[in-house]
Amino acid sequence: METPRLFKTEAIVLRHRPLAEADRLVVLLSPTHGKVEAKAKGVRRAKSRMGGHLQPLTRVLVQLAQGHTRYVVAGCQTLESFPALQADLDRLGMGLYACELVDRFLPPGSESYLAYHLLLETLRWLEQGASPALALRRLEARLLHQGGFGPELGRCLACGATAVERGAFSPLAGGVLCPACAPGQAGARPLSAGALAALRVLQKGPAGQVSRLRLPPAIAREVELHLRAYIAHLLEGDARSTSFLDHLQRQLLTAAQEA
Amino acid sequence: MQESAAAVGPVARLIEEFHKLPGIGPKSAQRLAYHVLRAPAAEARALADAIIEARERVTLCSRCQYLTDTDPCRFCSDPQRDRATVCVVEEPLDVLAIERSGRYRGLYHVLHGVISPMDGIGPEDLKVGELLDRLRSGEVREVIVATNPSLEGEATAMYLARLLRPLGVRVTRLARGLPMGADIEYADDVTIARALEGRQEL
Repeated sequence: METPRLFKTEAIVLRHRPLAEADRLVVLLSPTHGKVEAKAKGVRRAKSRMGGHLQPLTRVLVQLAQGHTRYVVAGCQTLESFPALQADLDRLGMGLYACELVDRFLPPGSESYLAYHLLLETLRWLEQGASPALALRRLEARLLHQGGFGPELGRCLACGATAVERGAFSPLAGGVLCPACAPGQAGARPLSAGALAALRVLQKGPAGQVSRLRLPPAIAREVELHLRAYIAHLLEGDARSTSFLDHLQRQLLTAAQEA
Repeated sequence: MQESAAAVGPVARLIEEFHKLPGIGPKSAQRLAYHVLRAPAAEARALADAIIEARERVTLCSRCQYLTDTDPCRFCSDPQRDRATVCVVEEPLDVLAIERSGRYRGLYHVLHGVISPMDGIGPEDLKVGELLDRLRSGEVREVIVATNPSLEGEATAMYLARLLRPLGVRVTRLARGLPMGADIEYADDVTIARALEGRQEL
């Protein structure tokens, strides 16, 4: 798509980092222009008119101008700021993880209606607060599926059998293996019938079916571990923000044990 | 750097070294290098000595983690300062900004960073353990969290509040709202919401 020198788009701020004296480089996700890097001038100064609008986990209406080497933010206004999500440390960590995944799996520049709406739905889900972990599992499964990285869940990757109801999940092979083919496969972990059914719903199920999912803790944990292992395989390492989520989880466990 | 290719060995090296400094682009690096070369030899030597001395003598204060050439630093060893209050900041430069206000008489604690999950920076990469050690003495009654009002600063503040409250310490946060001289018209939703929450009787 031919991009004009100055254009307006709505976008979600995925991340930012300091640049020069008082500027920031912001990475935005726009439904029409995809992942865009832009320089926001002077936003680290206390009196900046744009600094407060350009924080990660904010949906903004932004005006971008073509600069010499990258876009420059010419104007910005908050559309949605997810205040409850930002005021809760656990959900904030989850929101940042969601942004990191989208940032790392999306190539810069291309249209991204699906990823944009998936991230927006996830942030709104996290803002409401009910079953936040399920919102992340849905994002993981769908983001991978939309980008063409999704694991094969419909048939055994070794023998092609289609009636697989349990067996093993192998990040290396890229999906499920039936009970007959699973033994001896490198990196394959047992996959229960409940976890496989949940993964299928998370990946392709209609929105209503996903929000009605009530996973027993053991199944939820199994689904989380399979998706995490698969993402770590694709990214050649865990997503960076998982270590913070793990840290918070450990802290909660310790607090619960002490109580 | 293309321009420095024309410069001869030691000059090119000097330009390269200046270019590594934050906020210094290739042109500024050249200007600084040629300024040093044109300046009297004593001035250039004084600059080199100052860099080496600062690097060799300045360490982190064992109590507050601020940059100092004496341990404990001048804040921690000042008997006039309020030892029951500790102001937690992200970087040493924030200490200077708060001191400039002339309104704070307590002690400091420098975290040397901020929690930034997407960059893989967690609490274990900051001076949080050192802060907990200080609080165990029981002398501190209030911790003022003065991290930046950014998403990462807020995450760090929430993390510290969660960690410190069980120790029986009062944990407060710097007020957030509209800066002096700003236009309300241009303020973002979060800033206006927080300015309203923190409104005060006139």
